Amino acid sequence: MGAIEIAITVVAVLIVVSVAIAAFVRKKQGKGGCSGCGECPHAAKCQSCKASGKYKK
Amino acid sequence: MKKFALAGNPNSGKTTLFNSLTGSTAHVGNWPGVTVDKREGVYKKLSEPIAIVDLPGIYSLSPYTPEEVISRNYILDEKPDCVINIVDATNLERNLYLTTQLMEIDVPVIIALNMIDEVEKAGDKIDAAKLESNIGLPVVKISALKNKGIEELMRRAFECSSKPRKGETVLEGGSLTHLIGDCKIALEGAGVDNALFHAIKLAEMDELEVKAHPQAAKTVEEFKKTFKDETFGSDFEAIVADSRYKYISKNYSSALTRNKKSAREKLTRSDKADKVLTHKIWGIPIFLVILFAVFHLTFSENFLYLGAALPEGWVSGEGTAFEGVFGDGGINSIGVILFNLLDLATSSISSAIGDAMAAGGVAEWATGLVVDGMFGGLFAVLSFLPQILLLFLFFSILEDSGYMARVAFILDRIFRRFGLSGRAFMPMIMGFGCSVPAMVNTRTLADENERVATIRVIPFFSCGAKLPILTAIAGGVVQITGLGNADLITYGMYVLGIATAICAVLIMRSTTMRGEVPPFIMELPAYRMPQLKSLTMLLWDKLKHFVKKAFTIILASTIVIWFVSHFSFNWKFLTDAEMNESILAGIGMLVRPLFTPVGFGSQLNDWGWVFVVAAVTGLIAKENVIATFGTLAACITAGFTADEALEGIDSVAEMIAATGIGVPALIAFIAFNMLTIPCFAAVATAKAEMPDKKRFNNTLIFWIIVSYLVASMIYLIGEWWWTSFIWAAFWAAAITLIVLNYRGKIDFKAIRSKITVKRRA
Repeated sequence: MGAIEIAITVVAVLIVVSVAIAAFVRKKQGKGGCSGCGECPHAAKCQSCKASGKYKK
Repeated sequence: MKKFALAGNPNSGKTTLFNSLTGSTAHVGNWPGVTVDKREGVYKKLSEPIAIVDLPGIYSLSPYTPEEVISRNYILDEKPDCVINIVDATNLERNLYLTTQLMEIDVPVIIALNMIDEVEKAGDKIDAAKLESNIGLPVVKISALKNKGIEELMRRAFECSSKPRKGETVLEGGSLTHLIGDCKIALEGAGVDNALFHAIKLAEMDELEVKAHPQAAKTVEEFKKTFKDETFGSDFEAIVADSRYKYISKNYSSALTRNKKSAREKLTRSDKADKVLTHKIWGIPIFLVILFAVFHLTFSENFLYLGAALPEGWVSGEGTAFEGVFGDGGINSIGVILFNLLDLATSSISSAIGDAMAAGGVAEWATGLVVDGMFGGLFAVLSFLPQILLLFLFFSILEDSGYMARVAFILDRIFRRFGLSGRAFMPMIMGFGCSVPAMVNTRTLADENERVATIRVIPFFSCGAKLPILTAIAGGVVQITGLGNADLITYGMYVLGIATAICAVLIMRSTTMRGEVPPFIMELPAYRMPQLKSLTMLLWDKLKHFVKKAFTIILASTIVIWFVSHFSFNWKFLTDAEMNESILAGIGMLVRPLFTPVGFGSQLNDWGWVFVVAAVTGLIAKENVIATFGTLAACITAGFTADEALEGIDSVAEMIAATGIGVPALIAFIAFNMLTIPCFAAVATAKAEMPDKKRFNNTLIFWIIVSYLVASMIYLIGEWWWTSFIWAAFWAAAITLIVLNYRGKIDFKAIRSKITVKRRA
């Protein structure tokens, strides 16, 4: 496997891993801190939203 | 950081002002009730940054709707430094009703007279100085849409915020003055903040106040026994409302000078348009024609049906680099031309990258990973961007002009028969854009069962992410079979989604989700010319969202799909021609018998698992369906022919040819993807918005059953026409059971409890 092949593989793995980590972190913490936004699909589910107590159904 | 709250009547322009102040791109629309929850942003043009909170539109501070509760609680509990009361200057009297309530709270209030440009255009005049001295609150004329007067508004709001203000009421000297005074003293004694506001609400017997201050409520009850008004009896709420309007009429309306002639002309013009567009018989056909025109402009490959009239090869540009871009036989619509141009560009990029890598001696598998795994799927989705944006543009124009509010009004008559009010139409229309905000918007529906039923059918209104599925499969069908126009198939699928939603609601509302249909009262907004700025902002927002999604979740998904389709279970690397031995193929083949009744299961040849895999990947994001096709089609066809990247419709056409799938199964495939469980984000929103977990679980089951039922019906009838008799019998039996249940002839609950008892025994 040459240098280009290794680089391509590393980039592909990095893309997949970073997207997965970003999605996990976003779900856990809310988008940049919770502002009680009703349009957030994680409303009342993510940790910062629960902590803030801003979101009321 | 100081906090300013934007409060005002629905459709008074709060969100437009919010976007203008904060640079946000929150959804705005020319209909009441776009905003159902508060949202925050920052204004940075003063000496210090100011947090701006956009509150939902409200007519009063009484807790009749969830929006009124949200706005009231925010102002009372969060105590903003200033409330900017947005007043629609074209409807001064009604808007000032809320102002008379806001001024009773101990918070600085400033009035923003919005849409002043429309008032002036109509030849009317508002004396802001006179209004300011009459009300006793600062008044600033603005036009949020045209960005006029906004800096002055913020400067004066900033000045106001540094001066504490005590609440005042316009009810002084009325018949309830003593009662309000007594309540206020009692509440002040109990250490309650905003005693004047609470005292007035107590006098109105506001349910929240009665619960919070039961002792003071008893004083009101005692007083009620001894009091009787000549007109309103002892209905204190009506007395308070009447006093407010009388005061507004007497003191504030003098600031408005109407140009009687222009007011009459304006009314007549609006009436003339409404006479046609909201006509009892023609209203709905006109809506369907407008909807078809939108689809024709976006998807047609035979625009204006000029194909037969044109000389052969006239528009195809044979032999040039742009062959087929502008038409092939007929003239392409603007949407198809833009699609073709982007498709041409992405194909050239893919080919160039593939050629460069081959020339550089890069291994074949690595070239495949980049060209097929990364760009194949990504470009397959991206090439639909022009059509998605164009469709959004047309929908936004219809919404901003005020036409969509009329459609809600004309559909109310039909919706009512199915157990929904016309109000439910608004979130459904939002569903054409994205199911997530649409589901949130259902909070404006008062009846819980109506709300749950609406959330369940929102995904049936095909969102932007499903558009590539519809367009690509419809295009593929046309390319392979030469049948009909792609725009007709796409339009038909949208109508199928709407029809399925109506049938599903009808069944739900007459069985498990019964409930009263609340009366539908919506203020029809004035017809307005859509503003270029707000349309551009909306399209820019959609573009950003789509591109971001394409380069994150879709790109990651296509890479994963490429990997699992090029490795076997024993981790042996497979060439394109050997993909049937891959992990992905193994899983697809295992699951595919489940999809046999819907046409894309075991009856297809060895490559048929691709359809099953595409449908499953669509559960992450619907764009993934076509991205999966893009990735796999490029590999499969490369295994058959030469190594070339395929995107969009071409990839689907290749898949159709490779798998041997028929037209009925393809239509069933679109229907299944359109009606089944939506993407992760929509599912998470549905979970958050549902009243309980049981109803959410039932919703998931509902989506699976409906999609399976409709798709199998399409496939079976399309493949064997005589099965339509079986389906007719099935539906006749189902409808009979529903009607019998509705009329109380069958009690499903009793039957169910009998079955449960028997099982237990």
